[in-house]
Amino acid sequence: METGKIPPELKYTKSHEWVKIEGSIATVGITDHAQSELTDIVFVDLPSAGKSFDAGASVAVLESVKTVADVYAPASCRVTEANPELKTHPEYVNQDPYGKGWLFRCELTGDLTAVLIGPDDYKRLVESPA
Amino acid sequence: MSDPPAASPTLARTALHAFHLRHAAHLVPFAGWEMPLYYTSILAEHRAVRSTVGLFDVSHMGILTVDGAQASDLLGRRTTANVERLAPGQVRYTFLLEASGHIVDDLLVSRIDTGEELARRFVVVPNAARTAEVEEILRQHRGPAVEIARWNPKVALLAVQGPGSRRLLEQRFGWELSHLGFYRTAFFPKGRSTPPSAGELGPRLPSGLATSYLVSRTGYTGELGYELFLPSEEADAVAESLVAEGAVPTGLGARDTLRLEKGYLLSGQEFHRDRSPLEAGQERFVEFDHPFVGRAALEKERTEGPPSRLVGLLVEEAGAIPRHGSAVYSEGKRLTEATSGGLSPGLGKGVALAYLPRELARAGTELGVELRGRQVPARVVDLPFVRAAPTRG
Repeated sequence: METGKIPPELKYTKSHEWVKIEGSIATVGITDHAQSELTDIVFVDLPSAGKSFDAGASVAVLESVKTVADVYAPASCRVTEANPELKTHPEYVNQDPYGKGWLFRCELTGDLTAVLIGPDDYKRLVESPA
Repeated sequence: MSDPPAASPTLARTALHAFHLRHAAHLVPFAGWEMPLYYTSILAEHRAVRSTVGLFDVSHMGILTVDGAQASDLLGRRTTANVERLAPGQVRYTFLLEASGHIVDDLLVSRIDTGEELARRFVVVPNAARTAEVEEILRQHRGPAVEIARWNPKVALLAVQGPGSRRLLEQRFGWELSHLGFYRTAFFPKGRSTPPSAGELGPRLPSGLATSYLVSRTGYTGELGYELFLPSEEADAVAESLVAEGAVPTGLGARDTLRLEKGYLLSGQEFHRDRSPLEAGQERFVEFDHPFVGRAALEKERTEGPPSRLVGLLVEEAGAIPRHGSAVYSEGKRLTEATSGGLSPGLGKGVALAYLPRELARAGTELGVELRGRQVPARVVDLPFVRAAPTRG
């Protein structure tokens, strides 16, 4: 299984999101492996700022040529910003999943530590047979 | 870069496996084979086939030969094509049916003999997942004067599809392809000749592939295109040389979006021993002027009218993409599930195929498709979703 790029400075979830934490703000996207499995993303449904989500709730929806996928809240959080570029450029999620393809930022209101895994654990997760 | 491990040790690999790895294919299991879903992007590959040339590895498709004095009799009895009437070099899209009239598989049957001898020679291409079954059915029904053989993986099959496909093949091989009509096949020499070869019949499969390739003007994309039967050991070099001439490696993902836009059937989705060619809107490929298994059932269905009809559904709402299995509603009542669904890259909209009761199977009927727990408006439209390109000759 192709693992794709797994930047060492980020945290990951078992549902293939990456999370970058700066203070109480988390930036969330999907991993390189996830985008390659989804195939070309053609539509991104993102939450509006101010919306709150429980941990594990579906925050965003990605429609690709082959399938549709949910993006989950890594912890209870309140959305502060969604990537405004993705409405016209959903392909950024494929082309630059850790950069221009980020999905949303949120203010954490719950505990993250239980769900996040490090880059090495995420690599093992991707390499292990489904 | 190291080779990614195989998805599963039980998957078969085509002669182009190394080619796929070299071009960084995203490989997936498909009908027991490890096949490329895409190389760079499904959308980019789709557009390449619509605007220039795409190259597909379709070596997973069954490659059967049916030879002998009674070969056309056997194929005629087991398919909806009147095979006795096929001319040398003619190719027919046809169906192998159960006695119930339900489709077991769709096939391409190509006649490759010259007609100078009594014996007939055919190449039959079933779907990958159905090949063993089709071969078995043909063997059960064959007479003493028929020989059936399967040539995977000795023979590979490449599809070169798109408006630039003819020029690309002519440049690469020095052939003259303008006389090879739609759904015609011929052997073309590997070496350049003066004047350029316009193809010939007579060689056999696979022995004829020592000096020529069998080239059919067929495909599954709706574009000008060709399919090449060639020895597996030459497939990699030929594929690389076609890429060097400008063909874009294209995977199964684009193959699916291309065929869906044209309303072509996909084995296992639009039929699975549960639908007849009449329900599937394929009556033009059923020739009632010869006896074949399933004919009585189809004649009854033709008289009474098929219970349902395959239609195209178009969803206008941006980002609403129906999928295989999406529920279809009429006035709040659940009717059926879409047999195929996805984005039409050409329309930029969601499209689907579904079998509807006859009275609703009319262009303009307003329906609903359930997407993520919500009914989204969908409209029955005429197929194909995307019309033939003007470049198709």
